[in-house]
Amino acid sequence: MDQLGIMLAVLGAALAAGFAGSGSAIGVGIAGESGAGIMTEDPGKFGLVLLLQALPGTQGIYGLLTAFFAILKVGLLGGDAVSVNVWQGLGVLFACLPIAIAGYYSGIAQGKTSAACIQMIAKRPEETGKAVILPAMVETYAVLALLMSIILLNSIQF
Amino acid sequence: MAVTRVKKVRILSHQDILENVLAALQNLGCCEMISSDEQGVPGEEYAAFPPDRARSERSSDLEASIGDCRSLLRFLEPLYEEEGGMLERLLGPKPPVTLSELASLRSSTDLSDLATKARGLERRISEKRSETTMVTNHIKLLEPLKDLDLPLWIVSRGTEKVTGVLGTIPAARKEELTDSFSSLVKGQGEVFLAAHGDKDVEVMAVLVFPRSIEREVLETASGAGFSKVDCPQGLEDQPDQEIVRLVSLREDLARDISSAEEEASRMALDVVPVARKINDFLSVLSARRDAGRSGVSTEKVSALRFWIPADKLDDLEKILEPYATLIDIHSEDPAPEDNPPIILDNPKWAVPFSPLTKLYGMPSYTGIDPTVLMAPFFFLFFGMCLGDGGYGLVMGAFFLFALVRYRLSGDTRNFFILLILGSVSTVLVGALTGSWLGDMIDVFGIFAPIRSMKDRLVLIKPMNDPITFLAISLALGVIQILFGIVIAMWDAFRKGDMMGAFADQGGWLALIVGILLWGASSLGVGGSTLILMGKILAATGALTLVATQGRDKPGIVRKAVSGVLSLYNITSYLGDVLSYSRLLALGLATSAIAMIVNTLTGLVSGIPYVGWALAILIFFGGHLFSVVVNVLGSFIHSLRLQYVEFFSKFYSGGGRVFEPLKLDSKYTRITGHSAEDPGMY
Repeated sequence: MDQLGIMLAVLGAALAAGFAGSGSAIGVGIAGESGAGIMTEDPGKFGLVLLLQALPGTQGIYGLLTAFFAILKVGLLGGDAVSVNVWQGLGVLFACLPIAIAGYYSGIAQGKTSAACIQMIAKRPEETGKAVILPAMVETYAVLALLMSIILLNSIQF
Repeated sequence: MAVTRVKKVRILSHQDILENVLAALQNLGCCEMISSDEQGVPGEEYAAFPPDRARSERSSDLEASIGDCRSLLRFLEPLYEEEGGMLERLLGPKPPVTLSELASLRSSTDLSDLATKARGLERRISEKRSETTMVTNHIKLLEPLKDLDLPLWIVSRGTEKVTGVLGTIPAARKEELTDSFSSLVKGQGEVFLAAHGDKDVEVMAVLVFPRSIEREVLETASGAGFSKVDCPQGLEDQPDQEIVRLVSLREDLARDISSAEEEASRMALDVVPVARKINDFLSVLSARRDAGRSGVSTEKVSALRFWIPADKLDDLEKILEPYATLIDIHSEDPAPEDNPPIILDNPKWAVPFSPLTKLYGMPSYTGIDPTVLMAPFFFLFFGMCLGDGGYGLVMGAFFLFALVRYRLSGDTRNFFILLILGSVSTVLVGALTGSWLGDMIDVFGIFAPIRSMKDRLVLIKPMNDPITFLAISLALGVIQILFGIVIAMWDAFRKGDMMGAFADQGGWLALIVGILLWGASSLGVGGSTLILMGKILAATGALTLVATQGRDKPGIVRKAVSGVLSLYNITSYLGDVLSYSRLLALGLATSAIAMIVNTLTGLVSGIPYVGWALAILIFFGGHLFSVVVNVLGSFIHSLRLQYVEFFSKFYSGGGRVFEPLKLDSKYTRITGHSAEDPGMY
């Protein structure tokens, strides 16, 4: 049964990295499409567009981070072998869910906001500061989810 | 704390010296012109006088030169090889010049001649290019007809008796066309089908036939799916000969284009530096001219109005001393209905933070400048979000290098200093949390000697004890939000709005502090007196809010309902405080990503033969990626805490940036004494 515990933790890590990463990929993709449109008119905006396109990419990093934490926790990344029972494995799986879910949806939403802000700097390049803040408002919820995932992972006792 | 006081100045100047006065103002560089339509001057008294003849001629000369200069730069700049690359050009020092140098450069350069030459070259290149495209298309058209041994003039012109037509036919229907065509012409015509591959859907075809049956032939052919292609004029010989001719024509064209382009590049090398300098000079002059036009004028006198910082008034009088007999200067304080421009006035230590205020929006003239109030929080929050000593050092070194190397100025310089300050804060937080490129010092053997040194500085390890660090983050949030409420209270007090100060801000302050005391003491901090105090304070605050928040509403019932509902806003304060948990989350994320990079480095270093190379690649590449991503995230999120959580309590922005008439230049740095200014435009 101890194998099942480990595998549940692995499932959690996979969900965290997979879903948060997918959300970021979609978000960065949406922002990139918008950016390419702007650059056909003004290739000089590459730097700004790249900055805004990169913003929805953080969810993927948060997901990866949580996944690493999860497998580190059950001793899959070297260190001392830990024995994980089914309940502990389930705990790790559940702890990974906040960032998996919030990462997926907030990545997409942030991508849309970034795309809109890229349109904004096309007309008003002097307002880049504001254009960077709006997508960050969306990211808040990914940060909160990451926080919860980390706190939950941290609180599971072995 | 506050914004710089400004004065509204009106100068009445004699027309003869108007340009000298404008030049002096531009050299002083701190006067923002008020255009006459903002001044609300009735038009009848000061009917806008047409500028005198010499002046309007100079003005149209200026316009023409600006047009020439722009077209020169537009065409030649892309061909110009910058010295030292992109970054150098963006950040590098601009060459110093004086206005008199620029003036003599302008008079010794025949801009319109250069512009004509450049336009000629540009036209030559674009004509040759479109000709090349046409020739290429002809070659493509003739390619399938290579084997046709008829001269093309039969198709394009024909003779009195014979003519021909060129077109395409679906490959599947070519037999149909041949059959119907030969039955129609009865041996007096010829059909030629071009060679084609199995997969081609369409085939080129040429039909030659007596002119007398042209209509019938075309009808029959189009019935078989034939569609006519116009044979380009000027194609005479057999297709294979024409192809040879066109190919060599195309080579000639390519040679012409490349020689014209070389000529343009040579021209760019000589002309671009000069044109850039002249462009700067012209933009200085045109700003001066526009400033002169902003005022109203009579035949002899022009009135200029502008804003100037109050402490620059003496300087203004000093530089206008030479013209004292011909001008009249009058200054006054802004009237309440005026909209004066905003200049931030901050102590030296807070100046690097002023770009952040500008990014959000300038304060209003009577409002509070939030720069100083926000600066310590931003400094601390940035450090906590990045929170790694190693990354702090890397980032600090990078921006310090850029700052020294490129001798920056203005807001770019402020911004870089801000990031360097941020890196100092990051190193401090990193030292206190024991994070140096994550857990690098602990996992790699070579750092063993400095391990104890690192450990001595460590105060708290967020990785092992996230709850304590979370509590610190939220406590900082409470402090900043309460601070924001206090500022709003003070601001209302200052403006004489007692109700706003005590009822709105004071009510919330009492309620939040009361709840905090209550909560803290029920967790066992302090004693029963503290609980009582907390309860009383919270109740007072809540009662104040209930009693006052509906004061704009009519009727006792609606007042009471609005008052009670206002307590619901407590959730927004709760949300604001929780938002500060990102300080922990981002700080943890930085250390954790660094740790992952270190772990991966450790894992791959075990691979035989290539392990060490992979390890180096992952270590440097990974940390570089991590530092870039995390610096961006830390900056944005610590800024957001200021903008959304802190500013919303007391700050609204809405001011406009001060845009003085000055020696503004794009490519050069205009230096030297104002006496060298030619004074004209």
